[in-house]
Amino acid sequence: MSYVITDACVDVLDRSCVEECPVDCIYPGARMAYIHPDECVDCGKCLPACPSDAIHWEYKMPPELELFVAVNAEFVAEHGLSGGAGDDATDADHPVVSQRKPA
Amino acid sequence: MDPESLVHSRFILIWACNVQSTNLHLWPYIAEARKRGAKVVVVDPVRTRTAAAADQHIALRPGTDGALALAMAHVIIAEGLTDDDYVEQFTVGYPEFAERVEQYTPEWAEAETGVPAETIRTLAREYATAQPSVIRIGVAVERHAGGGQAVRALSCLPGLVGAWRKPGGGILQLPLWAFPVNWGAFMHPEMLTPGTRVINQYRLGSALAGELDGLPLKALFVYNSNPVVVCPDQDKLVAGLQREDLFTVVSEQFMTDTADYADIVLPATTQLEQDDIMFSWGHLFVTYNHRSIDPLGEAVPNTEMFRRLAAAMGFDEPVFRRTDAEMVAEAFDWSHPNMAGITVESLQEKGWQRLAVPSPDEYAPHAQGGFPTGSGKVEFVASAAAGGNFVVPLFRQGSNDHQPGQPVDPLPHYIPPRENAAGDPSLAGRYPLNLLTPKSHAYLNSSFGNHEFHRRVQKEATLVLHPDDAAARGITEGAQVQVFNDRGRFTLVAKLDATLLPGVVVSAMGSWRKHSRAGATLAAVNPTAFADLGNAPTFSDTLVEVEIA
Repeated sequence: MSYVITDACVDVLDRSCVEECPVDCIYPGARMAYIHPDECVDCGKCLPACPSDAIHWEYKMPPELELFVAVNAEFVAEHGLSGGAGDDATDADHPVVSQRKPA
Repeated sequence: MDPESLVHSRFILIWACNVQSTNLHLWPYIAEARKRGAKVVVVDPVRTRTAAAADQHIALRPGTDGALALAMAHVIIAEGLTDDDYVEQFTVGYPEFAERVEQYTPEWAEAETGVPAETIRTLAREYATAQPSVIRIGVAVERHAGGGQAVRALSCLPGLVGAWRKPGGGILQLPLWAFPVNWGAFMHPEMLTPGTRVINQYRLGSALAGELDGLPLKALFVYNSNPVVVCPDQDKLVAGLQREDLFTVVSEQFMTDTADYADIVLPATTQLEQDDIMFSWGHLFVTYNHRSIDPLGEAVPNTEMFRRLAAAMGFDEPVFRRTDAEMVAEAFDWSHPNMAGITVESLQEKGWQRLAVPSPDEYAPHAQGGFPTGSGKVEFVASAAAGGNFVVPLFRQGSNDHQPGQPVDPLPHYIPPRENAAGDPSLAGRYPLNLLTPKSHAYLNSSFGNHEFHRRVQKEATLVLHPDDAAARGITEGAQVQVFNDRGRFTLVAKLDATLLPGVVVSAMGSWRKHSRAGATLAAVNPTAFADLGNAPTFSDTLVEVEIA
């Protein structure tokens, strides 16, 4: 279970959530950030920190954003991300994101 | 010590505490210390999410914490890793302690704990030499037959290595001592009529069943508690609550498993509806709680409830007429140096204020002793035990009354778990599995166990088993199983986890009986026996068997 970052983050990547997260489970990609579903502790601190309202709780996803549950999980798994992002960002994105045209 | 000082720790030993689930606000300080080069080691029988996030996880058999701590002391002394100057100046009884721990070799501790002797040696060396080092202990250490002595042994370690010298060094459970709380005004012990019978809540089932000495209980008043979920002996407790001749009143915000059995439920306010003043178990700030809204419906705070009750019962002592504001004014010793610059008015204006102690970068309260012991030093030989009537000093509940007070060996020593193969082979033959019931991730004890959000996060109660233990019983992932011993049984869903020690099964506490599969929770199998000090419960000292239900 976890919180999930959705497409309102794409090309914004404000990173306030990264600062706010007490367990360092948010991993920035090239165009948006992703939450590791197994490392997230469900505290919800990231949700109000996001200036784009991009973060939703897994159990209350707007139906049209449901696919981002898998997008977050697949991205961290694909890139082997765990144990905290630190200052590093991954220079890549999930295909669902990278295929989007820049706004 | 100040939890915020942990950023300065070089070695952080988290002992039986799932910080990421139960003390999340401490984790950022641990993470910061780690960025600055600290090593984080977790000692826990279970690979919790905190253990998984640490640099190293040391899994020990349940209830053997004291053996590991004493073996660490053995290594530190045997290898000359003590801070001799600190020991000389600020501790008492070092020669006796050194002689006592000679027997507790790492090899002995390996047989007891299951942790390899070499791992114990390395742990002791790293803990002693990476200064300042800190130990964060959770209450789980206390929850077995030798829990008190385990905490005593752990508390000796920082004194041995001089960890108290610098900010970020020492041992942390509750930073309670820094708050000059006016306990007398809180507790009013003089109001208790001498001879009044006091029953420990963990004996409530026996008490209601008439098994304790004294007159039968005819009335029960419950507030701020949900004994059906948090007390052991659930079957007996529920049977007692169903007695026709028992008058039960429960003051609550929610219809808990206990409120279900009340003759009268009184509506209680939440913290959003009442003014309050708080000290803390997890930081060094005094907080004033302004109510956000007026009480809903007929809800009243505990203070008003007892004022009205006292008036109705004809008690006219002034103490029963104190207003909330008067109680707030009496809550602290405002003249204490730690309260400099802090008043009721300033708290009401600012909401919270840090105690007037040095900053987390400078605060080392025991660099030169100053401990709340008889000598003011680290007492390897406890002066509190000298009179043969040992009573734990002022503790969490704000009173040191009603403790067993039996003679206690003034030196730390090892007491093995009560329910284990060596101590009781016949019991272990019938019930070969150690049940651990740690705090859950989403509940606070039983609080929030009724809340949709928290229940979704926690999911249905599970029993976690090692795949080998599961296979030996024909149990597969998701199977419905029954957990039982002579005290009772409960039914839930099996979950397999290969990171678990074989022989250990785990079920997080806190989920409610009314949400259980067969009208019982893990409280049905938990023991009522006390630990060695302070009448602490022994919930981690429980043998069970598991079968497909």
